[in-house]
Amino acid sequence: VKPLSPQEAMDIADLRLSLITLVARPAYRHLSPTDFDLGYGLAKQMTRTNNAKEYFEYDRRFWDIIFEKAQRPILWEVFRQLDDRLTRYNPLVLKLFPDQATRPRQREVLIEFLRKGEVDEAVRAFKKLYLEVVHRIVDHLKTEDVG
Amino acid sequence: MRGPFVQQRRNDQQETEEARFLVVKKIREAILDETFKPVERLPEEQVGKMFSVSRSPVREVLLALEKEGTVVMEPIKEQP
Repeated sequence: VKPLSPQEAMDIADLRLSLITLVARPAYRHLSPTDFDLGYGLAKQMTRTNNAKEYFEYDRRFWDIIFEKAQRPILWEVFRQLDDRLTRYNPLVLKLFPDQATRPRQREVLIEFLRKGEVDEAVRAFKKLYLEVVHRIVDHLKTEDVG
Repeated sequence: MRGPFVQQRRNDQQETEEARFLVVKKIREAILDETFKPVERLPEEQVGKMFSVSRSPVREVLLALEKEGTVVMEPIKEQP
């Protein structure tokens, strides 16, 4: 299994953020209250679980809702490929954020702002929390590299 | 007369495709539950035995996972 690298984590994060930014507005136009409820439920389950398989599955389903509604199949396909590549990072995320009370809630925040129709703010708030997670992963991997 | 052979070939291809899909799914799950950890070696034969499939679909899957960036394929080093 290919070892995790700080550069790869950063590159994947940058690409994911770009794709999420690209689909947020087109998705918002088609997201229904039921989609918001479903997405929010999945986001909450991600905050609660400490099982990497569940975490991966909920994450996939969460983004599938957003990307399907955005109707941008190429972006969805690339995003899924990045997600597959991210498999190795999921156990690490849960190790670095084991406490459900303090685990960043970027997906919940994204949905909360989208519900209010604040698309730009949703992306901005998501990005801030997401990058906190990514920087923590990168710092951890750099420490491992030195060790 | 070609009908049954063509059908058989299609069935074989479908089975191979299903075996590949199953192995990918199982390898991902093994990475997620840390049965397979980063830097760990996944010998084809061992993976095949683990998931009850032959080496051939395992090899194809590992090549696809290498393309994806999840694994690195290395030639077996000969013992001195």
